[in-house]
Amino acid sequence: MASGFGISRTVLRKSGQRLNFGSIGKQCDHSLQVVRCSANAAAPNTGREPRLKTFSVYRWNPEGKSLPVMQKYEVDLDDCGPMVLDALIKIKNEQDPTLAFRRSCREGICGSCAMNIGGINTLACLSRIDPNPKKSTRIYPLPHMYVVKDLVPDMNNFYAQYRSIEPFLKQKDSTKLGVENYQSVEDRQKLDGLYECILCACCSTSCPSYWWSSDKYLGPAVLMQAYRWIIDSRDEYTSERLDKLNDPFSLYKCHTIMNCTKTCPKGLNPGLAIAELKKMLASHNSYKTPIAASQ
Amino acid sequence: MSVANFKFLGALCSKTHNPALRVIGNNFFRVSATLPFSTSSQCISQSSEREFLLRHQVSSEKKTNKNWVIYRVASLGLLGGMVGCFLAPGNAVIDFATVTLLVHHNYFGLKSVIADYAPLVFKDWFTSMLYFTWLLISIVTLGLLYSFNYNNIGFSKALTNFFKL
Repeated sequence: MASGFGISRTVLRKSGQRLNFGSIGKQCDHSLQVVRCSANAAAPNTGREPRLKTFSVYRWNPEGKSLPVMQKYEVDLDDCGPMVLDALIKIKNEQDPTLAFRRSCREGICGSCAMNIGGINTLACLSRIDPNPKKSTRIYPLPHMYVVKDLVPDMNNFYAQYRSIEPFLKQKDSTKLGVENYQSVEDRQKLDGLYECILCACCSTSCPSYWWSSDKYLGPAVLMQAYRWIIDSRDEYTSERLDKLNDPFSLYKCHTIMNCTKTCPKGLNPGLAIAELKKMLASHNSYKTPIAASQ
Repeated sequence: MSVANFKFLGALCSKTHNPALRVIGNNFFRVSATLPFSTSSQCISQSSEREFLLRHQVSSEKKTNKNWVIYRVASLGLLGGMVGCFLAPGNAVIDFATVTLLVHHNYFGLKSVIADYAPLVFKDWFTSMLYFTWLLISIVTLGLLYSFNYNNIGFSKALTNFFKL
């Protein structure tokens, strides 16, 4: 039986997007639809009716004095790639260069383009455009984050919380310096489903508890990484890491809402990681040590 | 390699808004400035002992994990108690146990709700007052239910009577 986050547990869910191609889509298999999309994108527009899709995008300029507005853009889907990021780049190139959003890898591995598309937090580069012309796709920045401009959220609090869990290997035995840290296959399997996190913040910003307490509750992304280091067999500061989470806010503001697992664009399961953390802490004994005043 | 990492972390910490982290970051700089190139194990253990605690983590009493276990055990106990109310109505032990667990469960449940939402809307002193008010209501409820168990038919009998309506 696989241990920890082995494949047999539903940690690595299928991270495909729901394909809304109507009745046609339901009969075809996934690979066929991908081929059809790319073929459409590559074919030149030979005077046909443009297949226009409306994108309603959140716009706000910090230098202006106006409140945020939703701006509509029409994009010809026959002349655009299949993903929402393709549409955003096309809008920025051809219609409105002032539209601001983060992007980098365009393949769902960097986590830069995390935003709220159609009410769901995902990566724009992995979110397929719904081709239904009657509905407009609503694009918002990640919920309950301070907005720098348009679709760019302020990630500093998120990064500070990640820093606070000390996401690096810590060892007490200094004789291990410069020596390989051997790890068994089973111990390495425990990290599967945890190390793949790209810190896009989709999960944390989908959590209502994180919306209301983002100053003190660490959020599912950071907690999953805390768990990743706690169960890493090479790390020797397990007890101290658990102690750090032993307060009413850092971990225990999780009320198992499970929005995090539902929204993860990589198919990971932060909710499960948090539950495992609670289980580990249940049998853990913390001794309150006074913090040195010299700090 | 290790010293470079600590300097990087120190630089990160110094730039943060969190005062605790900034202090630690400044201390990092001081340590690595005197040792520009070092493979000393003492340097590593020093940095590992530094804490990256956020303010609310520093002031915590470190007993939330035990409280969490108590809440879960009490919830299971309450489940058993409610079943017992129907299986053995009139039993004094079940009456008092169920009532105690019920008030315990409700008190901590609603306290958690107040803790989630009240700080968003009210000032800190008002939130503290809400906690105290809820505690008073819970204590009064417990007292009244105890006297109901003692002087009247008891919680389980009242429950079974209600369902007979």
